[in-house]
Amino acid sequence: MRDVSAGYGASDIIASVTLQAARARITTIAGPNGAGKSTLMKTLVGLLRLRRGEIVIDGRDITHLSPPQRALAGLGYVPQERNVFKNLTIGENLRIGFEFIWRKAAENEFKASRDRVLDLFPDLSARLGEVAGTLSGGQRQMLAMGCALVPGPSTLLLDEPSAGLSPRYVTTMLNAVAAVNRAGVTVIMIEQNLIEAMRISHEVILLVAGEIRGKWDAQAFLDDPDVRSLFLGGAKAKNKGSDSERISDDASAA
Amino acid sequence: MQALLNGLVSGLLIALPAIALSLTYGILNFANFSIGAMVTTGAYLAYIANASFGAPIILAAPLAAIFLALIAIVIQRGVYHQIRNADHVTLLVASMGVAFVLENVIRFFYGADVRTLDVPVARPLIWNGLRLNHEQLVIVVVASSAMAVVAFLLKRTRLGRAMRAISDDPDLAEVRGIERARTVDWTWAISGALTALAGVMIALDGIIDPMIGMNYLVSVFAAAVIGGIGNPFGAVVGALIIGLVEETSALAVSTTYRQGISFVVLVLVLLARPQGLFGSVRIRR
Repeated sequence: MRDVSAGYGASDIIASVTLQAARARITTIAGPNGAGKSTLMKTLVGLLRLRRGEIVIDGRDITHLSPPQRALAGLGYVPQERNVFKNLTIGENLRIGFEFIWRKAAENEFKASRDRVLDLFPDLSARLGEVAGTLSGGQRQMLAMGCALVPGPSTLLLDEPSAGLSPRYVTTMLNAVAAVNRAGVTVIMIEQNLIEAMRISHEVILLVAGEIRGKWDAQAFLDDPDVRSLFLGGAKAKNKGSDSERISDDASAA
Repeated sequence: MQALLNGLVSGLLIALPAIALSLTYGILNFANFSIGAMVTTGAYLAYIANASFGAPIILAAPLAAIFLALIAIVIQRGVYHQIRNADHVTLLVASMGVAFVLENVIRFFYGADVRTLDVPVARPLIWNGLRLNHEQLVIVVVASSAMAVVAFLLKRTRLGRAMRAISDDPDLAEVRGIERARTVDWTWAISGALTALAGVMIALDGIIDPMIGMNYLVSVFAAAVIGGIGNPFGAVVGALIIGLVEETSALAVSTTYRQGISFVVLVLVLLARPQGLFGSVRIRR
């Protein structure tokens, strides 16, 4: 995105933001509460109309596209809250994730895509007929992720995928993100749990008060003493290895 | 038993506009006050096809449904879409305006005269002392079929899932690739077709005048609210309750108070369950 400003009412929440997420990498957007991270996501996905600037994905200008058109262009999105259709079944949620992107696809194509997603989140596979609103927070998050993945997006936007999850679900969720990324999907995610997020991230962008304040490789971000004291509570990184070590860690956990 | 049978038929008749009201409420989150005027318009459209152009009622009824579906889309694009970001009270007032316009257009062309459809008179069916006239039989068959089609559409088709998804969370529906405007158009079209069929059946069972739809307004709203407004399946149950209560109450009090009885039932149900009978089924957390 280039020189993008957006907000609610008269004021801009994000101002002149320019950022580039590398293709087929995981870019994490970090920042304090109220920095404008979710506003940035909503602008990218088209739910919030930008006032200035342009958004380009895979070389295609999507600035003036509606949210459904952006979804058709390959943009998948998992909101932090209200991320599943609560009164529809789990199976219907997954079907909706697929059928409005691939309108002419055959039933067996949907089932193949759905089964690939259910391999990532096996907890859901036995509950396809249950209403999504009966799921726990973690299971809803997984379903939301599954719905975004089932049409096979080229770019995935995740708004705090581990928010409110138990440690077990955090690991499952982030491993799924890493696995999706290994399949070539570009991932842009907001995450508060930075230590866990850095386990799978390649790059970090810091957003403060609606402006970009810096960009790091994930390891450099973890190693930066100022960053650690400000955002990680002074904690040391768990995985102080190379990129390849991080990826192999993901693979074993997946 | 005769009152119960009549109540069942009456409930099925109310069910169609009650479903229509629930569908549009679920998606647009406002109560469409023009539902009565839409019923009236449906009756007059069938009258035009049947009495003015000589089409048999079996052809006039679907023609009325198609034309009212198109009129509903035009109203959606011309009125409700223009003020889509307004609060639900503004939309409700706009729907009152639509009702006045529809009724007065009808009055302009057809006056306030009472009219009837050109249909052959048939003997009623008598079974074990129960009397079911031809029009009532048509109401049972048409209303049941229309409800079955709507249930199939909502549960089993892509359009139905889109409608339910938008009703559940419109923003999420859009990011999943659902075109909101197109789905809303379809919802109005279905709503128009259902109310037109209701109008035709009311006209079959009696007379046509510019107020026939308005006479059912309280009953339709009561049915939709009792069922849990926004829930089309609840609206059917609400309509059957209202139909049965209205008909059986006629055994004790004058039919003049029929709508008053609907209102009393509505108040009693809301006192016991403010969300309606099936309102709690919808998950909002």
